Amino acid sequence: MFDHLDDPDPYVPSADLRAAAQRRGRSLKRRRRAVAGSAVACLAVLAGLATVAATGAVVDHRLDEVQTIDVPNLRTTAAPGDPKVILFVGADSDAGSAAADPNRPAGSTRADTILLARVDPGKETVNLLSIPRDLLVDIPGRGLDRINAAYAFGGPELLVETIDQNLGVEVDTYLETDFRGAAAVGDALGGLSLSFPAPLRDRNTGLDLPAGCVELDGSQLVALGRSRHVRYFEDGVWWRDPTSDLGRMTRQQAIATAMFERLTSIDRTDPREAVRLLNAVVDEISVDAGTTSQDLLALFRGIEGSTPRTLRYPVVDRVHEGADVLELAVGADQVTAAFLDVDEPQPPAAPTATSNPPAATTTGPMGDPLSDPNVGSDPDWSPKTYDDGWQAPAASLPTPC
Amino acid sequence: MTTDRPATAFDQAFPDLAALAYRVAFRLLGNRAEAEDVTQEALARAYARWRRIHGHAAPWVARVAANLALDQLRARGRRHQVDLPADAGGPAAERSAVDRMELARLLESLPKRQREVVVMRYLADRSEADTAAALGTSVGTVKRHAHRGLATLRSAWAGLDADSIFDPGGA
Repeated sequence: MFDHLDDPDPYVPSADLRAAAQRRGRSLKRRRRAVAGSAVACLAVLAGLATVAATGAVVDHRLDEVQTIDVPNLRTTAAPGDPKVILFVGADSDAGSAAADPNRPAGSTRADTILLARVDPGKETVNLLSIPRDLLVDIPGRGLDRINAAYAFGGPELLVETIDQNLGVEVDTYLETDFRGAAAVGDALGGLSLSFPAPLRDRNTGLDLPAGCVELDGSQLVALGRSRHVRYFEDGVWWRDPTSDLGRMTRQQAIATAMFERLTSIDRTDPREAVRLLNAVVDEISVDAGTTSQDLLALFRGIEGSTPRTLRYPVVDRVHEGADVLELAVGADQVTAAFLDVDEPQPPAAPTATSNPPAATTTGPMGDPLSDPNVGSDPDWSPKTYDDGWQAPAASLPTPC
Repeated sequence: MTTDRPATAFDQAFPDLAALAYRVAFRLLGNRAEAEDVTQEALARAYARWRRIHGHAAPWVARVAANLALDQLRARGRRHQVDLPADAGGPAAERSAVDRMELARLLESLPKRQREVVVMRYLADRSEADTAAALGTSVGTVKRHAHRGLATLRSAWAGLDADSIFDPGGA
């Protein structure tokens, strides 16, 4: 039909173009992996909270001091003992990054990490669903935008509403921290040891670390966790880490991993260590005003000792109004259903429109193309889609020591 | 150079996929440099998630290329540029340029789902089954959207009092 619009000259794609596409493809892989990795920072704080809860009675009154946020549209109908959905937001209040995002009002915070956790007291697994912050969603009152814009413009309330409208997940409890929270927990633990293959520095954050095994205090962890303009020294040259924000997320992941290991080795019989950790955690998290300290305690005890089951939405890259975004892809409905334990993901070969009752909570208004009852026909469907292997520039990455 | 299995399969599929992406992009953009940029980006995205899409790489690449080309047209519109081919010569080339502008404008006026289906079916020349696979939907839905989308385009084009480019059989 449109033959007459074709290029009259024959087109032969060059080897250069192929090489360039593969180069860029590899960098895209890195980006997608980093989105998944940032959730680990949230997990570390959650694990910290769970560990604290396990230490017992000392927790109660201190939890009353946790800062609260009004989130009026949370679900309040869940009875004690019912499964609860926690929305966990790792907020990035880094003022320096505001200029980089034109969609963001000056001086606001941005939801850097968005994680849903479903705690079912009757089960030994905690379902964890990370939401990419660049996910394109229909934000009530604002239209199509990235999901972290919902937080930037309407705070937790609009984010909760957006998640309900787009994903069909109702939130019971809201928890927030920023990436300093992870560092503060690290400080309370007496610092963290990380091994650096090469000296690292970032003039923007004051990061300046030698190679080798380094005992990092809280402020150094903050610097490491914030740095996006890292240079590493190798072969007599200060190289720039080209991955910028993605490299940062990877280093945050390294911090979180080390922290996670440290937390599991904590001596739960030593009340002093528990109290120190508790103080750090309490100062660094905010919780919705409707959740009492007893609720929190019950929640954390539900998490303690259970195995995390991580779920991720299948996504595809798109450009929306000039910005790189991610769109939910085929199979997203099944992931939501798996998260809500409504139904296990169906084998892709035999999807049915009625396999996910009740429809109102599992399919929800997912928007085109996902509201189509025939999603799941993709033979390649799998809940883990952006897990391609990846390593950041090795010389810029800390490892445990 | 990596020689692992996905890269090899990608290398083999590359010429056909690149040609497909280029054709879709050029039909919308009418400009070799821009169409090549779109081709490169579409193939880069395919490479990044090759493991997952290799089973339906052609419709997937066509869809991404069309989306990128439409994004590019939008960006061009923001710069208030009317991009006639530099080597515009003869009435045929002129007609193509005008058709392209009108087509892009009309495509933008379609609902997203109809637009995607029309682009896949008629710009990328994909089959109904391919289109359904790429958009994660059923063949029935593709048929419905294609029918509605095409009807809208035809009537809008008729309103322009121009020779229809939507005649069945490409007459």
